[in-house]
Amino acid sequence: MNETMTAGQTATAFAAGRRLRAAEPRFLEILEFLWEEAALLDSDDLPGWRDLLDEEIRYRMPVCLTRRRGSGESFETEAMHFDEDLASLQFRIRRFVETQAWAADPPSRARRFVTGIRIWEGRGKDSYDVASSVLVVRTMDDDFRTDLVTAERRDRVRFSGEGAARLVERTIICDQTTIGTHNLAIFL
Amino acid sequence: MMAEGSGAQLSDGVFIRDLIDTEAREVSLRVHHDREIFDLEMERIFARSWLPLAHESEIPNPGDFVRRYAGQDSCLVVRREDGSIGVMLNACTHRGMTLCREEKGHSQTFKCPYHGWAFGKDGRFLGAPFEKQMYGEVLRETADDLHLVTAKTGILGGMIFANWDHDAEDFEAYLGDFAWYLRAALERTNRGFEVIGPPQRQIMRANWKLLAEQLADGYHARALHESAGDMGTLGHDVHDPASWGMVGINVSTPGGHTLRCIDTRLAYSFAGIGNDASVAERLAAVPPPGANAEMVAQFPENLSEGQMRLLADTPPLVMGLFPGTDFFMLMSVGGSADGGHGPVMVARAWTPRAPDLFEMLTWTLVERDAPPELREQTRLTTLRNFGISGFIEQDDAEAWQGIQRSVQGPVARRMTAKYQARLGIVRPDDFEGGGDVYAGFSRDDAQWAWWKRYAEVMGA
Repeated sequence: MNETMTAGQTATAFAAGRRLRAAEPRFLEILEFLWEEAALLDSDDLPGWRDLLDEEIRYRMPVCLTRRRGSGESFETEAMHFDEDLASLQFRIRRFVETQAWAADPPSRARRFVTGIRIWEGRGKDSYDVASSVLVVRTMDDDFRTDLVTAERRDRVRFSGEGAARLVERTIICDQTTIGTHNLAIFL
Repeated sequence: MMAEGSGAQLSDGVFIRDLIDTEAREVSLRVHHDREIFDLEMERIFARSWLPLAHESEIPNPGDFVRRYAGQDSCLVVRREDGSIGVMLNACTHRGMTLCREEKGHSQTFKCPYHGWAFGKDGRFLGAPFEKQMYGEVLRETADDLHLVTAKTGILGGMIFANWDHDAEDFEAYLGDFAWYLRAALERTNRGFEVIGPPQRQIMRANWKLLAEQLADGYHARALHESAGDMGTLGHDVHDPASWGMVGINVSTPGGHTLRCIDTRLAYSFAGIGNDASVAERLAAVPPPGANAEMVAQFPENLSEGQMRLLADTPPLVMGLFPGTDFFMLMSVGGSADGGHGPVMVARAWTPRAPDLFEMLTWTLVERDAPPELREQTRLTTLRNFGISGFIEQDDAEAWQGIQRSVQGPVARRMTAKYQARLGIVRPDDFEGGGDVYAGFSRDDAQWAWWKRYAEVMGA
């Protein structure tokens, strides 16, 4: 039951529409959206981040594996580090914000560097496929050593009737097969 | 630095036995710090113990393999032609080069990238390029010495265990009295478990023992998992220890295996089931994690009456195998869509990397016969509670890493961890399970048994 979809297939299905030029207004709006999102997470404003999520959000991080070139099976479709919907993300946020969650109190400081952004017209009106690279640098307590996590993110972003961008889907494909941080009490 | 006969001695003259005070029931925190102790553990424990590497369902067909670590050593777990499973060191017998460079795959043979020596799925040396020109007949004459180093294997609940030491006790002897409990939890249905894909892997900045010895610690639930109480998974009555899973039956065996069973009749407030209901009625009304009523109907074919009673009344919650394995089964509300209880079912393994670093592997277990909805519910509830993003495990990691930070200091290192909360043997009437049984409040008895075993294998 561990059939894997190939990275190639996903990329085709994922970025099948017209590629947006970096100077197009929509590209800039989505760029601002990603900056705003990263800033909210970096400043530990989890309720603020929640407001950027669409009601239908699917937030996933598959388990990745080292495979031979051309195997096309570098990540799993069922084994996940995250597989969340709005209810489960809200559960996680509520735990961090409202209860004594030792893993996030004091919170670690994580900074997200989002770059390499490419955008395509997506399925459905005002919907876009957005690929980006993220570098997360995480600092804990008084430890000068930092944890680094790098990943490709494949997002679907949709604009509401009022013109506000919302995250509908995110797939985080991490470069590390052994994740180099002790937990994911952070969002990527 | 070993003075054999008088026990293992460290280079400053301290004996391992000096670090574990069996009279006072205290352990020096130094055990989590010293490189010397760590190296001794790798030799005396991890190179000689049964360690879990993979699940059968990860490699269903001949030629399927996964690459894992057994202790510090990279190895291949391979499905052989006859369907059996082999565990081989992932190092070419020629010069020691890493043989296989992917973490999972399918192959008829394993060929070394360096000079091209080739090995079969069973680890047998097959041949080398230009063999005649290079070696003449020499390799043929010594071919039997050129097979890959193999481990012996054992299987429980579909998990594949391996042991590099062919003189070590066999797998059944290793499990001992613990097998009765494990089989009740892991081999209850006709077709048994499979895993959902390869395990999650993450690093932990702590000594491996801080996880291993914690498995029998019921006491931490109230403080460390306070948020699990706030979120409704545990502690429906904050003043009642039973609702925090702190009351039930703990078990330890001389082999250092430890078990915590929680009394479900007290731990959960399931509506509509009286405590006078029969075992079968209770199991059917509230199936154990990951099972449904149809599977419960198969239990009598696979389990004894005593095992059925165990699952109905005091199901195993944390099943720790010395030194590097546990199975964990719980019902949790964390992450379920409707706010009801969903199953959390994991197998975990830990690989020591350094005195202050270990790697952790987490598999999600699911019944092979689980209908798609139950499979999906199990998958989601499990990954939201356990593993790298799991909200229960996130907090456990704080304790392991917090203690590790303390032991960096020479003063703190002289302190001891204390295990004086003692219940003594309390065996309920007509309880079938073996080992040392401690029924009641989850005190330190089983945890202490873990340390006794540790001291024994370390030659204290």
